[in-house]
Amino acid sequence: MSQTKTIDLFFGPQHPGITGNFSVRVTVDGDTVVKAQVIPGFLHRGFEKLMEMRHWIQGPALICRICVPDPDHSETGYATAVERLAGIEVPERGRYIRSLMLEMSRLSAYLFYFGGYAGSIGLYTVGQWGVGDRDYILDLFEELTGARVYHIFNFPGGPRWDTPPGFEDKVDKLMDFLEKRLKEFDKLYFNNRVFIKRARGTAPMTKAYAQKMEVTGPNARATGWAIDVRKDDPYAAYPDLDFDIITQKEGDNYARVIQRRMEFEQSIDLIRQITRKLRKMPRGNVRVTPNPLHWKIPPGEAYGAVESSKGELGYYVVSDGGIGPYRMQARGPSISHGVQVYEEMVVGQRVADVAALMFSLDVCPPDIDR
Amino acid sequence: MSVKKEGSYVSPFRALKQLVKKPHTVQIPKVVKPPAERYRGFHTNNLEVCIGCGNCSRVCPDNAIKMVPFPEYARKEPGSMPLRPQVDYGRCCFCALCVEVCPTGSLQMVRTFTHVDEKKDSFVFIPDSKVVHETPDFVLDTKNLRRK
Repeated sequence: MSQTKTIDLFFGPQHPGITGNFSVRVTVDGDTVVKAQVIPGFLHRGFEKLMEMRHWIQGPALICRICVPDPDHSETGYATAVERLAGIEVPERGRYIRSLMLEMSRLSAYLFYFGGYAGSIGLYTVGQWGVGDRDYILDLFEELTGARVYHIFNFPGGPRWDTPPGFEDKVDKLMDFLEKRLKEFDKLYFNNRVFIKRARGTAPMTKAYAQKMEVTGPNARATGWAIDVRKDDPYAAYPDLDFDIITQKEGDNYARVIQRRMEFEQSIDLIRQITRKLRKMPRGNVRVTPNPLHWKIPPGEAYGAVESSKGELGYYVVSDGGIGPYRMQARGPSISHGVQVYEEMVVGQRVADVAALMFSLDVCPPDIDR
Repeated sequence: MSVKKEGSYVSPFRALKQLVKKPHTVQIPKVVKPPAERYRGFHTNNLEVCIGCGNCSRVCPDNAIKMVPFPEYARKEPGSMPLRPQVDYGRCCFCALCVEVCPTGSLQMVRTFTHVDEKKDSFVFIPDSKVVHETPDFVLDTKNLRRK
């Protein structure tokens, strides 16, 4: 019996089916993938080394670039680690503003995600809607922080400024709009039979496999594993907020997308809880930071993690008593999702699902390379 | 939960009703969308009030600020230096840490953020009291988008 001829195909780095500057070489036998090798490294910028040359206060200006669609989680992860190291207690209003920003950032990242996955299976309207609606969130970020994408706002010690007058009302109005839009998204996308037939049963992941490969975030919760840093290691205002961990069972592409759709609804609810609370609080006191130019932190080490839109994003910070970190290491979710898990899970899938699987795992190449 | 298990081939066609609605985009430059109040754009510096301490230069995470000599501002007050900040907008990330550490409050940021020029040296300048291009700070400088 003769052996079947296999062909090597290159996906990326210039390919619409890749989530960024990232590449995959897949070996296909007919329509089926028999081997895959990811080629990262196009975006290596050496963040961990660059941090050693900076003051404690200069970190957020750099590390928000680790994950472009979701920069606030990077800033807050670093800030949480530094606060634990320095023993700083963020004022209550500051904690709530931080949580508000994180949930808004999660919403904007999920809107990108919906469009990304839908685009990979040919439903391009969802992407246009997602990016359009995301812009309204960016408008609010601009009002709060003064920037649209890289906010550089969550410093060790608390958020930079208090909310502008009337901001809570604008946020609530946007949440009403997004809730209405979610119903439109349901009709167009989540209840679309084309999507359901393509996604259901594709690349399923078991809970045991997720635990073995250190899968975190919505990808882990889609397998039925109730893991969430907001509950397990609370930070910002999450200990005071009322929410449950949402899970799915199947762990396939469909479960991963629906998991994020359900969390989108949950984030809207969390934001409403936060704005209700912010209205009742006295304004003004949001941040505690010593003189940034002469700020020294006692020797020691600390780890701070946040639940980003992609999974657990943690920062391990070491101080030798100087004006900046002696060593900083980031633990991003995409390195396990995009490298180890993806390479194994894509084997046996059809060529048409190579891009769909990458989008469903929500891989962020800048986070892999760093 | 409004997500159905089986889905429908018909429901996506309801999106067609969006065709009769107004677009969400604005037509630049016919319609100008002003940046937010807190928008971080170019710097301004009141050179008379500035004492040339160099805090802005030290806190800048991108090494975008260089202190350049200004002998005409040599004063005898303690802490005052005959230096003024020069900003390289090829490096600046608009984080506004420099504005935050300015002890006199002379260094500020305005909402103007557009500057187009074919000479790269024009992106390095000493901010003064004037806003770049002397345009009001909330209008997009569309005139400068055209090549001279």
